[in-house]
Formats: sequence, structure tokens, C-alpha cells
Amino acid sequence: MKTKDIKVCIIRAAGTSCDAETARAFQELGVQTEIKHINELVTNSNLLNYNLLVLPGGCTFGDHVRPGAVFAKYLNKKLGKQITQYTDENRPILGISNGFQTLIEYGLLPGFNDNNQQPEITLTTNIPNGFKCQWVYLKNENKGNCSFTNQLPKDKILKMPIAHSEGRLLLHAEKEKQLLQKLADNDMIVLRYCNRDGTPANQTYPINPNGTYHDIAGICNKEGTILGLMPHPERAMHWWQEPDWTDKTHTTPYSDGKLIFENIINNITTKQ
Amino acid sequence: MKVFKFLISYLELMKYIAKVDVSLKSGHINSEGETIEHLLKELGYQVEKTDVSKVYTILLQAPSAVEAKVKAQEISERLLANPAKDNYIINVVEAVDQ
Repeated sequence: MKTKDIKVCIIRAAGTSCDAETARAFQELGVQTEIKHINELVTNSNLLNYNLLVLPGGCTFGDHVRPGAVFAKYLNKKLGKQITQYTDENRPILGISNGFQTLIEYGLLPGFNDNNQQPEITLTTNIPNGFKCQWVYLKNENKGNCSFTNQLPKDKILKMPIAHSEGRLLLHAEKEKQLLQKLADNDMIVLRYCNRDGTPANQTYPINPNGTYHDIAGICNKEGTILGLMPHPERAMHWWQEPDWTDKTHTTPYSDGKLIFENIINNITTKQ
Repeated sequence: MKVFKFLISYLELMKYIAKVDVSLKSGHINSEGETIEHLLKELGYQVEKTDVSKVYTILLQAPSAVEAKVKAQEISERLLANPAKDNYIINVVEAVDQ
């Protein structure tokens, strides 16, 4: 498939706020990008017409109940059949920040049990408590399973911003270690917070900005087709989005976020 | 006849208030509670522990209190509580018209 024929659908709902930036990032890569409100998708669109679905950041439905919970149930009720068909064909989905929370609430991540429509893990309130908005370092921990990072070298360090109050990954307290092992065995851990030199954050604030378990910032499903991450790659697309943008030493016009988008576009181009 | 039967069954339904208290399972850190606890201590209160939970008050119709509780339980499991981190307690009382 040619890059210009790839169709990306960015799904928005009440409270979505990062759809335009995400669309801009994909447009920059030369793919067809549409921002669709969920109600528009319900009435006159088919998700199967798209090669990539993106759930962008924001606070959908006011983050009521739990962030992403209402949007996930709404998606399931209104578009559940299409989403099942879409994921059964192993087509890719990207969830950024609130999109990640929605994928977890939907049960698509981590997706240990097939056709599970209940959350198996959770993204909950940060420790220290409160909204965190800062740049972080991330290490690509994936060994090649994830379609969004498999062309990046293992241990590649990326710099991106976060902006959330509930980004702390929490597993069932009584089976924390088994679940972590399961994530590792299936190569589902994608990004972990780290120091600038790549050494582990080891739960140290603010390197690990939200107290997330095992410093995890992003995970994928077993098939590697669905990625959820708390950092915002769309806010790290261009050099001028970086906090040190006035520094004249930037050698490329792009920043690290582009690598994630580019990676999945390359995979769609070669696979479909 | 069908409409008549439906009306009869509708009239037989009672109104109940289900209060669903969703709280964190033990073993998880209640970071919101810790922040409040810290502030309370700063304000001079000698508190030992503060946990934050969420209470949903749902007015629903059901043939009996037991049925109302079953319905509230379904709602809790489907939406209000995340089984990975939450416990929930349901308390059902008959609604009294004001």
C-alpha cells in the first residue's frame, strides 16, 4: 500500500482535546487523516474503511467515573461489533493518554483474555497526587513485537511530554508479579520512564512522574497491534515543540514523537 | 391484552435508591486520601488515616429490593467499579416520594 492511500481515523468525543495536533502529525507524514466524532462514526461511517484508528488525548466525558471509562463503554455499545471485527483482523489502534485509558477501560489493553470487555488493569491517580505536565525520558523496552516501535533499536531513548492526573499503571495487588511476568513474556511492555542516560527510573520521582508500576509508560497487546501510552508523541513531533527550542543546535526538523508515527505508517505500507 | 399486562407489570415495579460506594481495594495506595490526610494534619486535626471513595446514588425501578440490588450489582460491575482496583458496597432502600 502506498503511504498516500493510508487512511487514519482520529476518533473524538466530548472532551477530546488533542485531535488536531495528532491529525497534523499524521498529515505531515503524507497519509489521509480524518477527525471523526463518535456520533458521526455511528451514523455514517465504517471503521473497517480505515487502516489505523487513533484515540487521542483529552478528558472525554469529563473523566467521570474513571478516565476513559464512559468513552470506552460508549464505544463498545455503539461500535463494538465494528471494533471486534477490526481487531480480529489485527489492524492497528493507537491510544494516547486519555486514549490509553480508554483502551484499558475497554479491555483491549492488555487484552490477556480474548474478547474481554472489562478492564484487567487500571491507570489511576498519580503519586504524588495531582496533574503532571512535564517532559520525560522513555526507553523502548520492546523486543520487536510492537508495530509502533519495532523499527526502533531496543533501548532507544525518546523524549516526550506528559500531561495527566491519572497515569499510574496499577495491576491487581494480589497478582502483581504474575501479571508483570505475563506482560514481559509476551513482549507487551513498550515504553518505560528512565533517566536521560537510559538508566531505570526505579520509581524515583520526577523521573517516574506518576509512580507507575515498574516505570511503565506504554504497553501493547499480545499481537503488538494496539499501543497505549501516557506520553504525547504528537506534542514531540517538531523541534519547535521542545522546551529548548531556542537552542540552535537542533540538527533535524523533527523530534522523537515522529518515530512512533513513522514506524506504524511504514508497517502499514509494507503489510497491507 | 399485551399492553394491559405490561401496564400491570409496570405498576408492580417499586422505586428504590441504590447507593453504591466504590473504594480502593486494600493494598493500593489512596493518593488522594493521603493528600487530604496531610492537609488535615497541617490544619491541626489528629487523624490516623483518610481514604477517599465515591458514592453513586441511583434511583431505579424493580419488583423488589433484592432485584434492585441485583441490578445495582450489574451496573457496578459493568461500569462503576474497576475489578483491578475497586471494591464496592451496595445499600438499597425503598424510595419515598416527596
